Amino acid sequence: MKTPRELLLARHQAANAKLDRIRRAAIRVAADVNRRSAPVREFTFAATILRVLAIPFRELIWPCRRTWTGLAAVWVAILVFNLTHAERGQTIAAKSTTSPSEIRLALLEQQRVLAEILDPSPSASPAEPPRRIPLNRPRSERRVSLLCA
Amino acid sequence: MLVVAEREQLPVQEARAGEPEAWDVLFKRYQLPLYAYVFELVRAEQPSLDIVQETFIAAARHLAGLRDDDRFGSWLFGIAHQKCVQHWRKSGREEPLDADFAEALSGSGDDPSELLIREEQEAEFMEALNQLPPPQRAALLLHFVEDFSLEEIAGITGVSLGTVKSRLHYGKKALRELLEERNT
Repeated sequence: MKTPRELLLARHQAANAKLDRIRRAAIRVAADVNRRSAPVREFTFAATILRVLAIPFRELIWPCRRTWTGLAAVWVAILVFNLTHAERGQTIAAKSTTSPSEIRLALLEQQRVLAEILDPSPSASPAEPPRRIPLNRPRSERRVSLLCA
Repeated sequence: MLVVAEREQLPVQEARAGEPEAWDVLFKRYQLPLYAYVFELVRAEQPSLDIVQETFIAAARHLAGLRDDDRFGSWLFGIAHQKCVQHWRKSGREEPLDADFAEALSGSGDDPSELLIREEQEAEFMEALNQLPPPQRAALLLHFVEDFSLEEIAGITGVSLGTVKSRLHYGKKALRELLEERNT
C-alpha cells in the first residue's frame, strides 16, 4: 500500500538522473547570481550618489558653463602662480640658511650684549645725584636754569 | 505513512547568503516532487524538465524577494505553477488551470496519507487522476505531493481559498467515483 505521494514520486524516480544534472546547473547559476549581486549593489549605490550629484551640476553649473570655465581657468592660473612663487621662496630660503654653530655664536653674542645692558659692571661711573636748584634766586631765573639743564 | 516533513528546517537563509551547499540541499529536497507535479500537469517529459530548470533558476535569482523562509516550498511550487501556465499559453492551448469552478460548500480536510492505494490500483489511480480537470488535478497534486495547506495551495495556484476548497472537494469526490467505477 502506498500513499499518493509515494506513488507519484516512485513513478518519476527515473527522472532523477536528469534532475541531478539540472540541479547542478542551477547551483552554478545561483553561485553566479550571488557573485554578481554584490558589485551590482555597489554599482547601484554609486549610481545613486552620481544621480544626486548630477542635480546641482545640471541646475547650477551647466547653464553658466562659460562663466564657470573662465573662473576655473583663473583659479588654475592663480594656483600655478602660487606654486611657482612658493618654489622660488623656498629656493631663496634654502640659499640663505646658516649653519647651527653660527646661529649659536650669534645667540651667545646677543645674550652677552643683553647681560651688559641689564647688569652694568662696577667700573662704570655712578649715577650723578640730581642737581639741586638753589633757592636763593628769583623764581624767573630758576625756570631758565631748569630749562637749560 | 506520510514522509513529508513540511516544517522541516531548510537552509534558506544560507542559500540567500550564497552557499552552494545550501542550494544543493534545497534543490535536492524539491527536485522530484516538483518534477512530479509539473509532469502530471504538462504530461510531457522535456517541457517538464525545462520548467523545473527554469523554476530553479528563477528561485536562485529571486530568493531575496522571499519574505517568509518557511514558505520556500510553496513559493517554489508557485513559480513552477506559473511556468506551467506560461507553457500552455505558449503552446496556444487554453488555460485549463484558470478555469472557473463553482464554489463548494466546504472542502474536506482529509489527510493525504489516509488515502492508501493498493499495488494493483496504482495504474488506475494515476489514470483516474489524469482524467480530472487540470485545476482539480493541480490542487490534488499539491495536496498529495507536499501536503500543502489550503492557504498555500491558494497562493501557489493564485485562486481564492474557497476555490481551493471546492477543487479539492470535487477532485477527491471525482477520484473516488472513478476508482469505484473501475472496481465495479
